[in-house]
Amino acid sequence: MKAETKDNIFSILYILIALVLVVIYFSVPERVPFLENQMKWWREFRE
Amino acid sequence: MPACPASFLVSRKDSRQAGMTIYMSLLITVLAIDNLNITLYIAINLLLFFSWHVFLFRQRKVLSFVDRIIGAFILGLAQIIATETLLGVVFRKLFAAPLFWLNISISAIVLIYAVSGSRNKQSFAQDIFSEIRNSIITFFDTMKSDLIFLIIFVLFFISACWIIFLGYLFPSYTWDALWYHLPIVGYIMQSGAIKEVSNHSFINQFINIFPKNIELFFLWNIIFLKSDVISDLCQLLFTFIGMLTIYSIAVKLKVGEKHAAWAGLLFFFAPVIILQSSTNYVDIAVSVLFLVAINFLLCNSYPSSFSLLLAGLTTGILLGSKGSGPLFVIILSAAFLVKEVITYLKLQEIKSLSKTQALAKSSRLYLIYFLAPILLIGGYWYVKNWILYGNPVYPMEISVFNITIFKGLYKGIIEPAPEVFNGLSYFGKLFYVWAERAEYYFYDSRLSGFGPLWFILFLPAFVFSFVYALIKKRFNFIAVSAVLIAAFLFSPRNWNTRYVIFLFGLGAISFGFILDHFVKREGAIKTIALLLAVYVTFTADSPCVTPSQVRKFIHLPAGERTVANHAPFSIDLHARQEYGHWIWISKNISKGDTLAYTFEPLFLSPLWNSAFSSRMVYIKSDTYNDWSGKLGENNTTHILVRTNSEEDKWIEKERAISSSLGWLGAVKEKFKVVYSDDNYKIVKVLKNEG
Repeated sequence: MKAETKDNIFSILYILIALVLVVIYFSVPERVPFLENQMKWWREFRE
Repeated sequence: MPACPASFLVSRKDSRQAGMTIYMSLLITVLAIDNLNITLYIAINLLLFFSWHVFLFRQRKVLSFVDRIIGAFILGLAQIIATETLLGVVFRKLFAAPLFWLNISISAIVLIYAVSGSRNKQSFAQDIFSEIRNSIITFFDTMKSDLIFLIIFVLFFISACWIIFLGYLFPSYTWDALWYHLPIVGYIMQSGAIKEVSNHSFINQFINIFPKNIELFFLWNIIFLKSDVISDLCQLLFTFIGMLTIYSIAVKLKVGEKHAAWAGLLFFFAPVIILQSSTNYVDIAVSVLFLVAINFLLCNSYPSSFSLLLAGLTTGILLGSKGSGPLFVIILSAAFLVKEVITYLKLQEIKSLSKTQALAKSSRLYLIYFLAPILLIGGYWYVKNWILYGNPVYPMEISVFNITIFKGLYKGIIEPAPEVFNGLSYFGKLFYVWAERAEYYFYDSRLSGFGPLWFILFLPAFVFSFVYALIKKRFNFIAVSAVLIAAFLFSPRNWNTRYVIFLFGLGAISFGFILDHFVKREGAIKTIALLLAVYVTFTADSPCVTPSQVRKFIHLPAGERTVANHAPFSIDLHARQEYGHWIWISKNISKGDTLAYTFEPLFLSPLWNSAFSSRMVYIKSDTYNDWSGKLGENNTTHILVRTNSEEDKWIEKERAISSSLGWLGAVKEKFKVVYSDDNYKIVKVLKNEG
């Protein structure tokens, strides 16, 4: 296999893993209250 | 008024530089008229760090520009710590004037030595300034060619400005800062000496045994300004140095300069780094010093003993920064040893005389350039503990194979782990924290702190890079990874991100590797990084600093921006009953006043004024006469007592006697209650006593 093809495969694999981790990261149960706290902070900031 | 230290170096030919210097001189003159303290502070810092930068310019063949910036910071910091230790431990004269003149003298000698070594002084000066200018131009050219990098840099710049603004506006409000980091500074400033304080409480004992190198840097940023207003920004400097260090390590590991800059920039975007950059904690400093030491050890692939000396100085500062310092020294020494053994084994085929010479040379290198500066800059605190308490790392007990080497009070960290960790495995704890299962970010991190960049991009980047390095035999990357992973594995409570910030640095370097190798997909990868950096920028808010508090503090006069008026979320639940007397102290305790306290307070720091120019002393006794005598011996001007305590009863009894007999004129009042609430009283000791 060519080195360029290998790099292509691994780079796609890396991006796919990153996207899976994005889903895991944002689906933990604490994420919703976390983001609500942040929204509250920014609403107050907008004042 | 001190002259601008750079002015005599500027070439007459370069009118723009001359104009800049005149502008700086004018600025300093205006400041001098307005505020002498600020002038002295700016002058001493300009001279101190610039003189080391000029000194290191002579090492430009073996040290890159970025390494010399980092090196100047390390040498300047080492000078600050060494001079304060000398004045505080040996002469017991650690006050603003001796410290100022000692450092002015040392820096002037360094500057004269650095300049005198050059044949053509004008071109030498011109080279220094043109190098700085060219480096800035190159950096901005890099930014222009990469829009996503430019956007992330703008995010970094805005965040840094926000941190500086908050650091200036708010007092130090974090738990450990008020508990022991700032009291260490207070005790040193009130006596002008670095010495043991009375051992009457757990926290005072901890203050005695804690290594104080970073606290000496906090002190440096208070003593000339006569205010602690910017002392909570000390760690921000370490954050900037950390970013440069990540860049420098990445370049040495053969990452392209552009992607190394990416790695350095993304190092900033860990919530724990953003939040802790405006606190008087030491965790960023410890991790950054560890990374800097690794960076200078990597330098040693060139034949330069100077970079090894810088690694030794950095490790020395690190050793004296926190009780975990010895762990880093052991790991860095082991790394140096392994490197030398590999070099030695490569000489196997050469005649035995060379092998002996190589062994002698590496031993000499280690002892003179690495171990000696470590012991000089960081060893004092451990030797002192060994002499006074029989254990260099007191109160921790050190045992090997159940044989106690040093007796202590504790065998491990006594604070229990969070309850959510009950039943979780080692990796379960790490996943819990790295997936950030917390409802807010906090400066002491606990259950979060690395942000989404670590979990989503850096962690897989490290796995990919490490496997790639193994296949391609890129030993430098493997070595750096091994050192950082070893430090992570041996760190106590390594699930707590603030103790292992250096691991985030390894992730950033790995991400630079990924960008270097996945060129075709770098647009997609950079876009994900940008989105996550934006997310971190807008979510790394401290619950201790709310917009309403910012608004309130903007309208407060500078003297009233105290921790009691702030009432931060981090301490509010425990400290509500303390605010009253803290506010009274901040308004009424002046320079030279001595406040005696008679119980163990929640925090020591608020019992000094904000300039730490008052004194504080613990006075407790079984009898009134003895107690009264000690008050006199310590020139006490005010006493803080708990309401209805034994001392409160003594004071009330004394006041009752003096008021009932006062009409006779024979008995004059000794005490006057100047502050009182349900829990505390502050009593002024009247000078006409006796």
